[in-house]
Amino acid sequence: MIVIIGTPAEDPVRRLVDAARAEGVEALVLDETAAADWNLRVGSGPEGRYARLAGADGEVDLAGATGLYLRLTAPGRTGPVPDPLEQDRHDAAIALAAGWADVAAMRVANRPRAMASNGSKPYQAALIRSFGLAVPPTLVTNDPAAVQGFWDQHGRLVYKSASGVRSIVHELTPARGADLARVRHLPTQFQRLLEGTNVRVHVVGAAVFACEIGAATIDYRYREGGEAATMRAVELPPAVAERCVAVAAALDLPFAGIDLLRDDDGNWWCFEVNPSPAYSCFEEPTGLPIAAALARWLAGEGE
Amino acid sequence: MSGRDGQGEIVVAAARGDATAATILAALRRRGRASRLVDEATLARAVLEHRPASGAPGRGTQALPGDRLQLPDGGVVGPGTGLLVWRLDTFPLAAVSAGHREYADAEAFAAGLSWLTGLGDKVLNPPDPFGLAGPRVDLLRLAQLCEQAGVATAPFELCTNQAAARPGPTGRAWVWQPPGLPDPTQRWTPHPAGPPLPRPVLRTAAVQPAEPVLVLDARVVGTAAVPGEALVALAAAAGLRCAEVSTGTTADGRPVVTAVSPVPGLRAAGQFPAFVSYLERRADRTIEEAAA
Repeated sequence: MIVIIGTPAEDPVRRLVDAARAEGVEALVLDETAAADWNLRVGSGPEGRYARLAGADGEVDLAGATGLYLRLTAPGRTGPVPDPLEQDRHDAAIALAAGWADVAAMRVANRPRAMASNGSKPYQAALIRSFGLAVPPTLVTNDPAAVQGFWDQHGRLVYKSASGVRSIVHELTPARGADLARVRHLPTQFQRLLEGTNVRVHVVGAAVFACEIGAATIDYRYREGGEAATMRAVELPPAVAERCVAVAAALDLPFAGIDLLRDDDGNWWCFEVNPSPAYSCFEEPTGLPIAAALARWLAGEGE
Repeated sequence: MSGRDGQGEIVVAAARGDATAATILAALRRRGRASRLVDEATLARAVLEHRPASGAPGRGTQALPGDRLQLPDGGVVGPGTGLLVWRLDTFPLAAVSAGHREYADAEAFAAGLSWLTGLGDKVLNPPDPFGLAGPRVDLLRLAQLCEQAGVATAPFELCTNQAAARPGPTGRAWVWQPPGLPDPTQRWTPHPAGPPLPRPVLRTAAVQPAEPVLVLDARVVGTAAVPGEALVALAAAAGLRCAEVSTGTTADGRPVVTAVSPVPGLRAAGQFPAFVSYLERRADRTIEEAAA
């Protein structure tokens, strides 16, 4: 059995549930939107650590699963909440599930403690570099003069959030540069702008699925009035694929969405390793069998 | 040992009301050691220029040359610093309105985590995404780390719904305040009398606490109910070079670990001078390495 914690209607969860069924893997789905109703007990005693979920049909020993997929997206709540303790139970259930995922003796995609490296992009980038992939020259500063010097050094820069809070990647244009004094209010991340082809790589254990992205914008996730990004499955050079697997393993992220760029000189750069990839956006247009690979990996197959 | 821009200093970053930090600094000054307190108000006016490790693959996460935190009085915290003792949970460099506070705090924390990591051994404890002062250890993580180190924790159970919690003869319940797993170093609110409610709960065995001990690399300062080697292994497993470990004894006489903290309170006898000497040794070593 594998355990899936998330919102069943959300694409990555839905696809994994479907893939597990197709692969003949039994899946227990814990609906995040109903977390306030979970009867979850996690503890540690003479018998070791345990996690048990009580339901209408009795108690399930979650520790008996082979794998756990955790995709918490904090969906919005709707409608009246007559029970004042509901929010407490919801928060407690989510915290407890995440805490258990951190210590559960099974395959986990991914452990929250490991996922947290992505909460600081420059921190994660330094780790990525130390594990074998090049990362763009970066400056984090609240000093406008330092930004100007970095800009002069590299010619073209982008700026983007340093934390896990999502933001659109923008080029630092002369017009935006006129506002550089605002940097004084908050340390901001600047990077050398790299030009080339974006490649998204999904690592599942030791398996690699890559797709090339054609986009007219710097941040291909956003059209900004232009054409939508196009995607096609590609094979990575073996050395790059090996490094992707090695970086994901070193970050303890057996399921990872790695954002690469192959520059015009053929060099490979890594922007970040997404610890909870919305892989469905890449699987759907390319046909890459990511969900099936994830279901099999969670069931104990492969490395 | 100290230049005018803070070379070789021991810097303590702490809240203004942190009495332990103030006492550490007073002790360092009595010993003639160049040191300074950096509090939230100072950090709010500081200028960060952080150049994280980047470019072609390479070993380590040490920041690149030019990395520095310029303080309002001209002092600098950076590669020339002797040792940085970070006792804050935040990196309070953001100066934004309340409407942007949540985003700004996340951004500043991200910047701080990267900057502190780039300082390497010059920071007392390596920071991690769960704590700039060093990894915070919740109850479940504590149980896992104790298992690795070969020591016991007090039995506990966290339950999302108290009404479904099992009764237990040795159990003593506290209300669990969500969100998040309980940090064992916190004080928990005693459970109110009355019938079970459908609310989250923590039950744990009663423990007779001993004085916390201090682990400084391979040395243990203080007497614990648990063997010293195991506590050293526990701190190392938690990713801490300096840790305060709380121990105790259960009602049936079993020695257990109850908490590990990266921010020592230094309340027990003998810990204070040992800690200050440790800071000096660490700072001396980083200065020597920088000079070599």
